Amino acid sequence: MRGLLLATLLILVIGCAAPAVKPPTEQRPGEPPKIKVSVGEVSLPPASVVKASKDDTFDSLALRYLGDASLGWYVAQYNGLEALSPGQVLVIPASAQFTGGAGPDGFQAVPVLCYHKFSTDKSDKMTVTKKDFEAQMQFLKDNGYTVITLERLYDFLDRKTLLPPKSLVITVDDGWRSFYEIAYPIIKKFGYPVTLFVYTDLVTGSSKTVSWDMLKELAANGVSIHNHSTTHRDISDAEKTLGPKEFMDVVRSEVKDSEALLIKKAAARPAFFAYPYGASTPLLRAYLARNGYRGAFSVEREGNPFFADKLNSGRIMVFGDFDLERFKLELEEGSLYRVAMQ
Amino acid sequence: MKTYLAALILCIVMTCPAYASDKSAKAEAMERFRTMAQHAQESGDLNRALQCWYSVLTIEPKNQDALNKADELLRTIEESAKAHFEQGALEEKSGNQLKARDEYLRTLYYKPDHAQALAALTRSVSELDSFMDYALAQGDTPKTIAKKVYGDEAYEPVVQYFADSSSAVIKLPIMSIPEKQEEAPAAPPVVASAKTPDKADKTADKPKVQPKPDKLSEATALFKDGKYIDALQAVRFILEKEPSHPGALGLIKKMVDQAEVHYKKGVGMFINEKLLDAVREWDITLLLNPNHGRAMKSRESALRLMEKLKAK
Repeated sequence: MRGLLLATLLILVIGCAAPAVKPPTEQRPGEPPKIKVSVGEVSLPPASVVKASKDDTFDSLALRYLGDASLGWYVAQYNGLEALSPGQVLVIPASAQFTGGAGPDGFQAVPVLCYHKFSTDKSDKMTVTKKDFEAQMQFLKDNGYTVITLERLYDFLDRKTLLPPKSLVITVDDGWRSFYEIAYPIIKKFGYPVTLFVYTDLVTGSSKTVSWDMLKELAANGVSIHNHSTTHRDISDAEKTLGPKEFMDVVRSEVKDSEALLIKKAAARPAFFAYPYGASTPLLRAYLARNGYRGAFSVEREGNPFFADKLNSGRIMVFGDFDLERFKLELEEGSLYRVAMQ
Repeated sequence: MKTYLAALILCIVMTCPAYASDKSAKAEAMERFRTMAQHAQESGDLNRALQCWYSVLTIEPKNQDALNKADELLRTIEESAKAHFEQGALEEKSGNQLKARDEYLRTLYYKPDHAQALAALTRSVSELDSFMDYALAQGDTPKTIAKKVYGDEAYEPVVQYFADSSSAVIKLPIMSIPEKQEEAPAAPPVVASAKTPDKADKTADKPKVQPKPDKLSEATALFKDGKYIDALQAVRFILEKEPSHPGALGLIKKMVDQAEVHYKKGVGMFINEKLLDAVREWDITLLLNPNHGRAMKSRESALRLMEKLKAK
């Protein structure tokens, strides 16, 4: 008896002498505990209690417990932490409940920035200088913005994922050469994802426009290339002047001809459409839905909350005369769909 | 002897560094969640507050303070969600789509998985619907369907493109068909704001008092002159007397179409940074179609932007 007790004591002492922080210490959720409250018996949301090890990061914990490393921000936010220290105790839910980024002021919205042309010196309404563009990209980095892909935005609109606060998408329209020569190297330097909406009649490889080889190179380097019509005509205007049959023909050629070219010549997989001049009609939207397009964009200056119209999502055009203050304002406005909750 | 040994083991375990470190780390985490819960509750973020108290309970399931706080919050959240959902349903029934949408959003803020609120939200945002369901009837052809749905056989190619012959219900695009001049307005296919909900039913059995025959012409003339307020008054006068008056309903549909024209003009102004002009256009849009959600939001957004730019 005495020997057994001594052995127990020895085991305990040795156990205690081990390092205080061991990777990973955790209490995995089993059957969620129930609490008795006045509205009845309520199950606590299943969650793990985790003690962080020295090798853990928010992203690695998100990957381990939520199956998605991109939800590291969520683990941090859930626990009210900005940095992770070894030995810190965290609670990590078994799944990230979709809330649409709701808060007391409203719902999270995602601004989609829309650029057109770039220049090394002069700016005009549709042309942003290299210096301004670089400053804007730096602003995003310095102020905690997360640039996401179009696919992630639409996962959010499909209620499949949560997005970090201050998420946004960068898009560039048309297919001007200045994107390839000026903007893309800057975007690449910052490591941001970017989407190029191309209207295929512009792809001539002239001194001002991109060539198919350039587009192919951009696509191979991760630039997401999507459809901006064949000729850039105002398709909605055609509905007013043409009969239904002729209008259907216009829609078909503006969507399908450019789509075929983008697939064949730029190795792109167009799944999103940017309406020329931002203008659409119900028939055009229905046509895109019928043809498997996941989303389409206007230029209505608004961010996109989770319940935004996926075939008429808003975009914020960035003009050449925007200073950083104006840029910031646009981002702030586009990041919240206001609804007073009280 | 046994008691002495048990006490000794307990002492050793409780003073061992790993146990002490674990206990203090848990205490630190609980304190962090408690503080966050209080801040969240103070700022009105009740769900976040509840989430924090749940986290405290996950670490220490019998924590009485957390149990009490969670209990109180659960009750408030349930009651708020219920009240907002009911209010949303009332607003929707009264035809106030925008107010209904905001109420459903408030419901979802309190209960993000509220399935009925989510379904109602989708229903209340009419712009989300690209398609309508059409149940095929015996003898239907693309031409007859085009006539029935769009009021014009010329839409046969549209029906042909979108119809799926293998299904008894086909999905057709919702379209705003321009009305032909000088024709009596047919029942509009799908126009949210042309509805006169409930009111028509309630007065259906009452003897109809025909408005003066020229009242519709007067309303139409006022509308054409851009005197929208007067035109609306005139058309309301007709509909009070006869809620299903086809001419007046047709004129309302025209007003809804005209609202879209002003909305787009506003968007153009806004893009060109003529914010005040954009707001004026959206005011007209909302006058003609008070349920125009995008105009409402864009207007609010422009006004906020103007204020912020002034403050720069």
